Amino acid sequence: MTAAAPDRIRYGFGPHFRLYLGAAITACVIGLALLSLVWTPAPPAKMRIALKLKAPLEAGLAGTDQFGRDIFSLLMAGAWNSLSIAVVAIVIGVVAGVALGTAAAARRGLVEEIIMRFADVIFAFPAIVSAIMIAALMGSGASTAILAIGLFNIPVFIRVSRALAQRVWANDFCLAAQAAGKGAFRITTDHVLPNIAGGVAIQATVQVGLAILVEAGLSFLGLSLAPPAPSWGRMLSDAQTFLSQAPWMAIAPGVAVAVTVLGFNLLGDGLRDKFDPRTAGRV
Amino acid sequence: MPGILLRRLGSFVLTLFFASLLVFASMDLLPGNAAAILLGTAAREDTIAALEQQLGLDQPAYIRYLTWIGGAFTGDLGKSASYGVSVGGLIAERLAVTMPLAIMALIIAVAIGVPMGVMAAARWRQAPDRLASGFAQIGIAVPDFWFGLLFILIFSTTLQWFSAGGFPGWSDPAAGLKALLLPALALALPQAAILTRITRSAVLDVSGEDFIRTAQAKGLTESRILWRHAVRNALVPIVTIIGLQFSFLIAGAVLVENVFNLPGIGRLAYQSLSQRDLVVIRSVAMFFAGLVILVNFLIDLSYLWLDPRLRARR
Amino acid sequence: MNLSVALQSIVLSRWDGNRRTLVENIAFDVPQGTTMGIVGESGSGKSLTSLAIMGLLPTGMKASGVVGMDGTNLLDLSAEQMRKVRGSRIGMIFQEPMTALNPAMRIGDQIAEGLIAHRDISHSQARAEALRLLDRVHMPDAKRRIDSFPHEMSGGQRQRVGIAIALAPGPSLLIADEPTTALDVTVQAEVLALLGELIDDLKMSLLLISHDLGVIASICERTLVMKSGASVEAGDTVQILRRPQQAYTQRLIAAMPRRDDAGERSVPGIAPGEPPVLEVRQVEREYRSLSGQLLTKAVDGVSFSIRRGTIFGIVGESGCGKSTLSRIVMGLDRPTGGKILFDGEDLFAKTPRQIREARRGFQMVFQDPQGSLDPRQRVSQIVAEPLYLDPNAPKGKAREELVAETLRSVGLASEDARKFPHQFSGGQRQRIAIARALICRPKLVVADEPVSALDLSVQAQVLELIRDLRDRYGIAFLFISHSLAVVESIADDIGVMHRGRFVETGKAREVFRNPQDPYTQKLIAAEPRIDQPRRYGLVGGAASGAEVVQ
Repeated sequence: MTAAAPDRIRYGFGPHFRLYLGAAITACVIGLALLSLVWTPAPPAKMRIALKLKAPLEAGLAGTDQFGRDIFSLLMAGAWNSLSIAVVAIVIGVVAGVALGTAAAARRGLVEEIIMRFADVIFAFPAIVSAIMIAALMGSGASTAILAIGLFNIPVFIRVSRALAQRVWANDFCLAAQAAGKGAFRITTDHVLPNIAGGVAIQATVQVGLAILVEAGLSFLGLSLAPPAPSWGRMLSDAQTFLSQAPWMAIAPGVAVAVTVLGFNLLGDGLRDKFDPRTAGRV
Repeated sequence: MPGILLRRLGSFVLTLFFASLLVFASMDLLPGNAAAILLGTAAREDTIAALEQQLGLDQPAYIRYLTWIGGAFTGDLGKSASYGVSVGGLIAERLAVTMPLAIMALIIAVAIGVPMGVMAAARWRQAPDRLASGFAQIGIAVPDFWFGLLFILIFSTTLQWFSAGGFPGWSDPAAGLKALLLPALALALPQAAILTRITRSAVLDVSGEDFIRTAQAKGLTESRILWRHAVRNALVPIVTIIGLQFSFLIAGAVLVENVFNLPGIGRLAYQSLSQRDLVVIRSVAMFFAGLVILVNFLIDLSYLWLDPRLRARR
Repeated sequence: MNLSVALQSIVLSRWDGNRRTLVENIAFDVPQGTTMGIVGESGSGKSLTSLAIMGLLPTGMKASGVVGMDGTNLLDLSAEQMRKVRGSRIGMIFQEPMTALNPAMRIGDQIAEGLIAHRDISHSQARAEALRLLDRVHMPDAKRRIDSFPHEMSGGQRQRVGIAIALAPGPSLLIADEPTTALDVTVQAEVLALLGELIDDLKMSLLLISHDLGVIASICERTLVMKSGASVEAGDTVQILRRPQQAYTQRLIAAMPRRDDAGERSVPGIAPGEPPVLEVRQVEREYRSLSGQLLTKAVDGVSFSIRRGTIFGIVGESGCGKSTLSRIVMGLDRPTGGKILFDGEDLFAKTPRQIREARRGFQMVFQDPQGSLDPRQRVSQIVAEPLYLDPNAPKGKAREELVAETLRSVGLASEDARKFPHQFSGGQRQRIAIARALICRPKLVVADEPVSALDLSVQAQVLELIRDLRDRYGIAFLFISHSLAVVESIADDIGVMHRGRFVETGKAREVFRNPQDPYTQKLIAAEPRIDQPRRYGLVGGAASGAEVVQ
């Protein structure tokens, strides 16, 4: 492989291209979501039957839906909903997952075994399956989506933080801390957490993107936010009925989801390139 | 060697057991039981009680659990309240759609993802790598059900090559396969993107190992080094990811079946939710969880074959 | 076949167009049937030079100049032409025998595939040839071993496989990049003897790259000394080692650990009745399976004591139990038998809390200066960590002053307290680790391979610091190392450890001058030294070293 490799390492647009592009996309999406709280081109909930099913630029930037609502405004408001659900769910996953994962790394043996079995069990339930179970018990809504996505992310972060923490524990400075009389908990707070924070943050960025993807799926099935709150997934499910008459209804929300997820993924990859140069350009 | 097999089998059974407890506890023990949910808020006390008796809900919890789990082995999982047929039969019938769909999707994903990832790694930071990485980056971000909508828009509504959904049954296998092709493709594309990415990074990781340099120093051809040394040793992480992604494949199947109106298990789960049919939901959820656990168990076993170092460990 | 190298440069180009020259103006010849060594510290470019000859430089690096082999310049060859040269005309042996072999491929196949790549032979012929080669490298039980995986063998056996792979297509030049660095000293002697025997029998040339002057001296006729990508001096090995012309070479040789023969060091006097700082009595550490079956005895009845202001050295090969012993002495692991008396008090009779408090009196220095310092902490936090349990530890300004004073005592500046570990070199990092061990004025410091990861010149400075601290503060050291020379140069008393027990203890001088135990004798004989004549690969097979070892 080396034989055919070029003499110079070429990075298409510089080494941190992914980081900058990802940060730019993410900033745009977050900016539009925040803007939607105070201003949208048209009121997102307002039905204007006269303007129904208008193509993009005929009415509004991205056209209108079957009730004449402005699709671009709905997208902006939907961005806020989808981002907040994803972020809250990931926060749940990170807090519970890191606590359990670092505990597993600190206490080998039975505790670790129990935590990892627990992770295996939870991981066996795809978010959509647990969402269906939760919805059957307490109905659909934002909390159903948050619970389902958050639950699924707990084992993800248990595994990530355990693996990272084990690498920290393998260092002699943890042995030195033990020799200084520090217990497992103190070593975790003093040495392990500061050293895994970066890796967890990178993973969390990628998982937020993934959570947005899953949330779109849940709200497509009507398992997330109830109408009339705007949501990308439900816009897509509405669009299914009008696929031949108004294809833009299906295209715009899908592009919104894809671009947002792409932004978070690029940002995560870019951060990894920057802070973990060993894997730069490889992941 | 037999020891390690037994231990993995034990942990597989244990995980399965706890998963079933979790399903049972959340579906059967939490307040608001199946009968009340099924009948809705307006139902009278005595109708609920009657249905409870019919569904066996008046028995103690452990009896109900054992009946359910025992039924999983005999195929008798109780009767669906909304369909009025046996849940076991319902799942078996729907499996005839979901299983082929998932297998087709997996084959397509591996057939696209692995070669693309290997090619990207072999031509690191050159044009083929950029193309494959670009595909991976975008493919991961696009929701599979949206791919489904796009395919319907392009191939059904516009080009009219395929019907927009539905399933004609397996009486005509060709027609059945044709009906599953678009959904399988929609399901496979994001998976292929993830596999491309993982294969690429796994092969690149291995390419940095000392034994690759040894292979180069032997004067082996580039393709032999790539396949016999780099890819062979990258298989463990690749197979791991296929296992981890399996739950996303299931999630995707539920969505895609709904987009294409396919009578699969995913659609069954969704329909039972709108019917509030907890008896069905319980077994379908357990079925999915069991499938994920089984796949990860099989992947665990495949490590023993893929990595000779693990065979020796006790 | 003659190899004649005249590299103008090896340049690394970065994505932004920046270029860095890593190696410049290196020229040497390896005539047919001769042995040549390249010696240098890390970053000297010696490995890059060997990779450039093989055409295996990492992506982004380019060599210019001439690598002449029988009239062709290898640097001008196409990738495919170069592939045919690799293996068939130049064979290469790498440092780490574990990672240099494909873990998922049987070793017979790994040897055979090199043959198949260069010769027109069938699979079964290649396998027969692989078996012959395994016999040739003295692989015990080669018939069975041919179907083994690398992880099923010992380090020395793996390196024999590495040599068999390099030999397979019948090259006339072997390049060995630190081939014995990862091996124990007795295994190193066996591998060097094998290399010597092979190049003599097969009339091959050898280019050996090493950081170890002793290894170079034991096998190479001529030597090139490199430093920071440039050549320092070259010539006959004996000439270079005995009469170095350049200041750098002189410094390098002077930095080799050796005991000054100025006579017995005056050990500080001890008040009558004062107990030794550390007394280890019949300590055992067993590992048992869950069913109670005895798996191994990592430490098996070891006794010794260390007095104030002296250094006790433990020397032994990997797996001899020396690290387990150091963990037990530090109270990080419990012995299954025996006693540890610290200042006359039984360590393991105390409660865990008391053990932790007693630990303030003894501290630890580790091997890897990279991994022993938390990269996220400032030096001040790192150095002050042992004060954690001390209720009387100074706070605020006084603590800062204590940290600064401790840093100065190990030869660092007070301002270094604000920096992070990555801002220091390897030797400076080891000084920080020593400062951390010193801050609560311990009576004993356990140093587990403290200089093994350091370059020769840095190693000498750190050893000097340890001697200085011993004399200045009267600290006792338990000094653990695999290197005889290092232990000999620093220890007052030593214990030679083998399979969990001390095979020999006593005054360091006497043990080294007149070893009694056969294992100690074998160990001392196996150690390559620069004051001995070349002993491997001599014409006529006068492999004196091999005899001693077997």
